[in-house]
Amino acid sequence: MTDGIQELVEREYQYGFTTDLDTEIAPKGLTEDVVRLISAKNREPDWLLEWRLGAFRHFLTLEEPTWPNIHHERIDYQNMSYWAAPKSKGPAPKSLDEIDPEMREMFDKLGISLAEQERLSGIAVDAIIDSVSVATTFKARLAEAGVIFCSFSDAVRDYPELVRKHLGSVVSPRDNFFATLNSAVFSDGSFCYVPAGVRCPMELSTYFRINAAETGQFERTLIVAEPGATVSYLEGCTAPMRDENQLHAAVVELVAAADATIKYSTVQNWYPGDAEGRGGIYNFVTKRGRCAGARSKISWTQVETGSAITWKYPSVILQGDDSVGEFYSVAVTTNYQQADTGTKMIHIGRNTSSTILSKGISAGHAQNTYRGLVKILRSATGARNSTQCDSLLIGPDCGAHTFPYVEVKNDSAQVEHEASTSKIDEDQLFYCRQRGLTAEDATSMIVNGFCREVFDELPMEYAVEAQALMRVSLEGSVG
Amino acid sequence: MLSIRNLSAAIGTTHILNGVDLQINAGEVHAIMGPNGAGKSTLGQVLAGREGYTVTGEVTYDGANLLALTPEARAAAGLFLAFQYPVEIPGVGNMYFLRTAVNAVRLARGLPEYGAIDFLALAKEQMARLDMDPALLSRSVNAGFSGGEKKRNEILQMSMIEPRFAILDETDSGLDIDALRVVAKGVQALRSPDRAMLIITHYPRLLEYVVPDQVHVLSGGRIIRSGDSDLARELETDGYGPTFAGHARAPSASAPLNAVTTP
Amino acid sequence: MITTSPLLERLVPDDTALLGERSSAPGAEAWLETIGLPTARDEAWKYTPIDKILAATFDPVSKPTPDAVDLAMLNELAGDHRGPRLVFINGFFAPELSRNAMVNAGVNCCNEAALTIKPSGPYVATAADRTRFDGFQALNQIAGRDGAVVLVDRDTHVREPIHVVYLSVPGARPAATHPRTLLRAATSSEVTLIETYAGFDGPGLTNAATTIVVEPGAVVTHYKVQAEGAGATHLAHTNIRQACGSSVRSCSFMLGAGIARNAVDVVLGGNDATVELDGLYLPNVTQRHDNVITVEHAASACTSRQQFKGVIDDHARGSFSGRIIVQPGTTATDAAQTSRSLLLKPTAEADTRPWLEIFAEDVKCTHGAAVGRLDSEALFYLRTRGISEHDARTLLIQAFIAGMTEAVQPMMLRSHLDAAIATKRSSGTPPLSTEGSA
Repeated sequence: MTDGIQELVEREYQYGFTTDLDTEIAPKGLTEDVVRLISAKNREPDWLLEWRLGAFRHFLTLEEPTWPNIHHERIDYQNMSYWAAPKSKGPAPKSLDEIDPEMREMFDKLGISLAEQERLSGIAVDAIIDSVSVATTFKARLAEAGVIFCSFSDAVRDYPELVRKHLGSVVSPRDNFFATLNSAVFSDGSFCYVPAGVRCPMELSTYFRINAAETGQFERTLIVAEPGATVSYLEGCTAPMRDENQLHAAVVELVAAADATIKYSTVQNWYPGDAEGRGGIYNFVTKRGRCAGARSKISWTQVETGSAITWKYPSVILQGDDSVGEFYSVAVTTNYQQADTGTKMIHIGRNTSSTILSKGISAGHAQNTYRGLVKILRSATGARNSTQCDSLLIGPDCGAHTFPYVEVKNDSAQVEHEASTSKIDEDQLFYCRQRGLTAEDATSMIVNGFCREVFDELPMEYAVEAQALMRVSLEGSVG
Repeated sequence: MLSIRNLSAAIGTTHILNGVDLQINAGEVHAIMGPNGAGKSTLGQVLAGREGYTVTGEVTYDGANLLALTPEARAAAGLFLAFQYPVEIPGVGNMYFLRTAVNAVRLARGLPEYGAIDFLALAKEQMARLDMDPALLSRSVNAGFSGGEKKRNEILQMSMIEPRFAILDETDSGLDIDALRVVAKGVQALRSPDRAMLIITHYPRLLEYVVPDQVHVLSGGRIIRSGDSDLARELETDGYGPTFAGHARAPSASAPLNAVTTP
Repeated sequence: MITTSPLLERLVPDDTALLGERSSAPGAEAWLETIGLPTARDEAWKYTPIDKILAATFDPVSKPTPDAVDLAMLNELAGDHRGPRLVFINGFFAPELSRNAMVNAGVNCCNEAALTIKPSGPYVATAADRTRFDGFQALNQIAGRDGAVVLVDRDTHVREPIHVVYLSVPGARPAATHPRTLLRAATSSEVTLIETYAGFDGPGLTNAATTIVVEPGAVVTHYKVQAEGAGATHLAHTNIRQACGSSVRSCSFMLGAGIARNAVDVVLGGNDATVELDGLYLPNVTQRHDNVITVEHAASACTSRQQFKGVIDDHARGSFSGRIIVQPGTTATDAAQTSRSLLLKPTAEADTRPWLEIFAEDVKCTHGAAVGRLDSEALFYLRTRGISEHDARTLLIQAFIAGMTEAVQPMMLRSHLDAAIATKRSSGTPPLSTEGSA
């Protein structure tokens, strides 16, 4: 490309500040005592403690997976703290007015004014700092509709039967290294339950924030949509700039009963590390949904711009007949970021269908990998899958990799997979610049166009945010 | 306004332009004609700043060295190229693209940017003049447009950007007669004493509607003949044959252009 | 990893009495000692039923009696493509069935053992290249006895195709052969090589290694026909190394064997090299056909094309794994890959892994993959024109296959292939009715 385009300038991470919250933090290290401590802090029932301990014991037998296309120094699981919480100054806040002003200020800085959200945007927000949920808005209005939306720890206390029934039903505590770790030490998260026939009256959203240093974040999200229910859920994530790497190993489980629809959107902007690849979040996340009932639908949309390393494969088990799974993804990696992300679509029921649309953008020295599995089991008569997987390269030192697996065991299945990898089209760039756009604006516009179909799947207000985020992410990748 | 001296361009070892000289003053419309492969489109691309060519020679635009500028700086300075093959940009809204382009150029000229609502009204007005379906605004830039729609979209951009110097590269090719008239009307509307145009064309049809002040024949990467608008008519009747025959007999490339004028 | 010593004993029984000393292959020995044979956990072997292969115990190969195969049988099994022909039976060179081995000036074409001066240079994959070596290639180097060598000199254009035939005449208990083929096409030469692996029915393992070295500007056309008996296991590695401006077209046709794995590994090591890889695999009954293809763009301005088609019938399983690797520092890469699998029965299975690993910016890489059954609309259309369902299906399958066989240049080979495919298809179970094929 042209003069100066290769010039990498330091890019600014907008959310890199730390907030001086008075934080209570567990001692470093992973032991049975720490698991017990977390459980005790959450005042959990015995069955949950046993569940955690079972996961912990299994974890001791596991080794970190080596198959992902990522490279990092060995993570010392004994050199981090597994639980941190902003110290509450008195009893839990009953309304937003009672929230610690410093915390409110932090959320204002993040552009998530909890009060504003409640008044203006009509989006219910559960805010999670480090290990605990600090505020959930709109509870009352949701309750009117019968929707339960609260922190995971509240759900364990208030709706133990629901939690017990569904926890681990999609992602077993033995599923994989990181899911098992999460099962042992998960701290808090969001819980959402939409009863039969209810269309959730507003977008639900969880905001995740890692604030404390040398702490891992292990949240757990469980969303249950009963027959005929509909819910749209969005999560956003940020973290301060720190030189060391921080671990984030979350688990998200979705259960959709017959005719239920769950739409889950993620705008992931954890701190990606600096231009030399120092620091940043290790984002090892297990997300899976089960289309348990007939005609149910689970749709994942993700915009991944942050984290030093991203390892996640939001998947759908298509169990119910005629159920639908979707995965729409934009993954942007710049500087020394690494992403190994994709999806699994497991077709079990008849006439199940899935769509995969993945757009990867790699710049600087980054490595961006799509990894996906489409599996059509013998029982999945009439199954359909369509996959489109495109990668864009910006600069000579980055990489883009595509590792799809397609396994078909039923002849009536129709599976189509298409993929392409290329650099930004020179003709498009020249055309835009001839019309007066700078190389950087032109690149940003073309890249946004490349991602359009995925952004279109996001709720409106987040689509705009995603575009802005993309622009910031790519700043400095082109001159 | 634009002065080209001994302009040459090559891709690798293939020489495409071999010393083009051309002077275009404000208010003038020049036509460049010539057979396929003569280097016509390359001339337009090189003037607009397309990378990948090895360029030598001089081009001054309003007294400044045009060749030193980036494509966007040339656009900001008022140079516009209507592409022979307008580029498709999937996912980028046509309206959004148009407004971004117009405002980028306006900003560079010190003019206020258009707001979304004013701009939409203006764009629709221009589109009506060009007999364009307003629905094309909400589609992706040129994606899935027919040949004629793409060409009109180029003229729409030109009308909105209001360049000082416009190069139209084969804008007439692939247009039916009605579309040609509409496009010609759009081009004619932009003619003004402080603007200049360079119309690159293979056929003289467009020149029936937009009568040029001067016509040049480009062949083998250099201008081998120049004349007034009658030259275009003559080429229509006789084709490029006689011109080339004359060129072939020309004693040297530096011979006065009139020396190779035939019939 | 597998402990190799007992395994090695089972796979490579001591047959020094019959065959004399093994050739020394120290790198390969060490490889088997430390790394061993691949396991089901190795990504490249994911779709090969490796455990089944390794469960067998092999007898020493027996040298077939002179009358085991006559010319007519040979021609029926392997076809006669005119031109020079080297024939090996159970790994032993069969001069009486071979012909015209030394063709003419500029070409040296003989069995390896007859070669007085061994070809020098890095012509075979070595254990030093960890990423593209495996235990079976090591085994081939250790246990291989003989094979075909074709050396084409500079500027030599070989008109007739050179045919190399490996025949298996199995005994009652399984034996393993480790044939190897080396083709070196020197600068600006041109040659066509046909490899045929065929045999009578019975248990056995063919563990073949083929190396094709293509020097600057050389043009190589390579066909590999695998038509082994249903009881056989066929494992083959074809390593193609291309220098600048060279051009290779390699086509593989998989018809036989109970378990077959066709690995092709191409390195485009010089600028402006071109490779075209085609593959057709037709597993039926309980056959397993696995294609594992790697094309590495290690130089600039290279072009690669892969086109693989599978027709999978009965309880068979067909797999295609294709990797395109574009190395850092290369420019102007053009790489494309398509994989299409046709499932003819509800019990047939297909796996596809079209992989791209791109470490450079200036690339144009695409892949497309599709798995499905016969187009029901096309079937319907044909039936409305009065063609029976059975014939309509046959017609559509033929059309799907024809795309691959029509490009075969030596006409003799093409008609042999057409006949072999027709025989295989008609001997399979009759086409299923379209019940449920809406």
